[in-house]
Amino acid sequence: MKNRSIDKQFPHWAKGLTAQIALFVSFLLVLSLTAAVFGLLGQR
Amino acid sequence: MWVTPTSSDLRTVLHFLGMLLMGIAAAMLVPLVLALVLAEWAPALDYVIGIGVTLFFASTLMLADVRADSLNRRQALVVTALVWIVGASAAAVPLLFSQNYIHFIDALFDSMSGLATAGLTVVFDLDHMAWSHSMWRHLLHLIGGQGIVVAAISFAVARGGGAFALYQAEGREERILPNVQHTARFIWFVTAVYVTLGTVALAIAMLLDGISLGPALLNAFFICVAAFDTGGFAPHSQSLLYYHSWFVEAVSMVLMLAGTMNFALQADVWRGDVKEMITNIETRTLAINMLILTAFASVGIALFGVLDTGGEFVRKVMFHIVSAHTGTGHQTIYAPQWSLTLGSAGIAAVILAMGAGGAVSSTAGGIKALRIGAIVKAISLSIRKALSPDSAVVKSRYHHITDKTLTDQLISSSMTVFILYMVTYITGALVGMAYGYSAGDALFESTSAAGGVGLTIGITSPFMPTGMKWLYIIQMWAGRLEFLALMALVAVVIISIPRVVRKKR
Repeated sequence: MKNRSIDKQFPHWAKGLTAQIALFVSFLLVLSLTAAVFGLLGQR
Repeated sequence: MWVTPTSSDLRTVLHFLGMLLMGIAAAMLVPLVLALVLAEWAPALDYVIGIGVTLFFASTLMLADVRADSLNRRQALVVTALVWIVGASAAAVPLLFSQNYIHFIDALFDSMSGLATAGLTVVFDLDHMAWSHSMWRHLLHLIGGQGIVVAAISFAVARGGGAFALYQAEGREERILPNVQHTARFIWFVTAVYVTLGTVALAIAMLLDGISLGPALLNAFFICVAAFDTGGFAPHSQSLLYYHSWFVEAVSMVLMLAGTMNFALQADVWRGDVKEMITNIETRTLAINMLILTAFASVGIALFGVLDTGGEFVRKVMFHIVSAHTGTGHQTIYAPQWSLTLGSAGIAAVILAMGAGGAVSSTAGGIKALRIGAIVKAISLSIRKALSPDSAVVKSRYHHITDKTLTDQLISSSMTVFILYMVTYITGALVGMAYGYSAGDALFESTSAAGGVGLTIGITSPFMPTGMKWLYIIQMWAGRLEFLALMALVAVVIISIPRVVRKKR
């Protein structure tokens, strides 16, 4: 598949990729918050 | 009915095996070129020998049937099972000559671990390994993560009627684009984008940390490939602990999450359907599982009391849950310190995360999120059925690319794979215990090997018993192929024995 046909089949790939990375980063923030909160609960 | 393989089947299998081996030989050109560029003359010779040996066997096998142009499903399963072990053996040849491995089985262990994207290693003196050998180890992650067969199909080494049968036999269920060759190339396209972005981000972090340009680029590429392919090899014996950088860990976690996503889901998101990320049963299962295990591990580790709560605590806990759940195996805790740092609850959470694994049709191993999601839905369906009137028709629906109804077939296949993985994890642990390791350590390492993760609690080393090395090689092989191809190979061998015995009489 040449680059042109990738662009044709996935015209919004850059947008999808950006949204995907944003979701991963948001999820990691939620995960770090979970670790912090439950870590404090465990310490008490 | 069991169909006895014929000599024509055998010739076709050998022919395709030879074709796929040709691909492995071609891939060895990359470390060879790097060795020549960096003036690593001895490693360059290792790759010349490796290419020569592999080409010799590949061309001999291809002569078995010069006319073969397609494969049926049965033949494809056998070719796939064989190519992983024969390919790993070929890939081990240059590693053996590197002098970083004591015996051939050690080199085979690492090449299988590389291809199966496990990341367990029995390398000796990793910190002084030649760059070209490091490149080959990480390239094995790239080839194995995408799939030896996918690599072969995308570069047209294997095509024709057998391409889709081979693709399915490698444990991939979904055809993303109508043409299997285009599907394979899409997988490489996604990989190329993530590996490029990840390498640039990691290289910048390493440059800022004072590593010079060449080593920074190579280190970044290696860490990036190992993270995206959920592999776990690293160019340093201390894994990611070597860098002491929160940014390197954060970028690696994003890459691990990206690598553990189903390629069919990636295609949908890259077509513009971002909502799929939130509604898909696999991403939901992965997210819920990781949150529960992070919460459990955090409470347990805090109660254990070695790690102070705060930034370092959060970094260690979430990094290892993400690394384990995505099946990667990068670690920031020195292996022998696991039990001293995390305590039983922390280690249990990591074992559960490793066992569960990532998404189907991704580079990750383990039971997989779709199956766990389907089993949970099936349990909920049984309870709803029990509480409903006899005449009620109770169904369960889930979203995976499209809206689907939970079928008995999906439940049954999910349960089968779940049981096979559990049996493999437990059998490996029992063998480990028989060798004298503690139950917890043996279960940790066995789950890591069969789930294709690569985190180690300290059992895996060049000096562990040879029986344990074979055990983990078989576990990594079986786990990567999700058992079907391997069981097909065993069945074919068993049903062929009476035929061979009859001929001899």
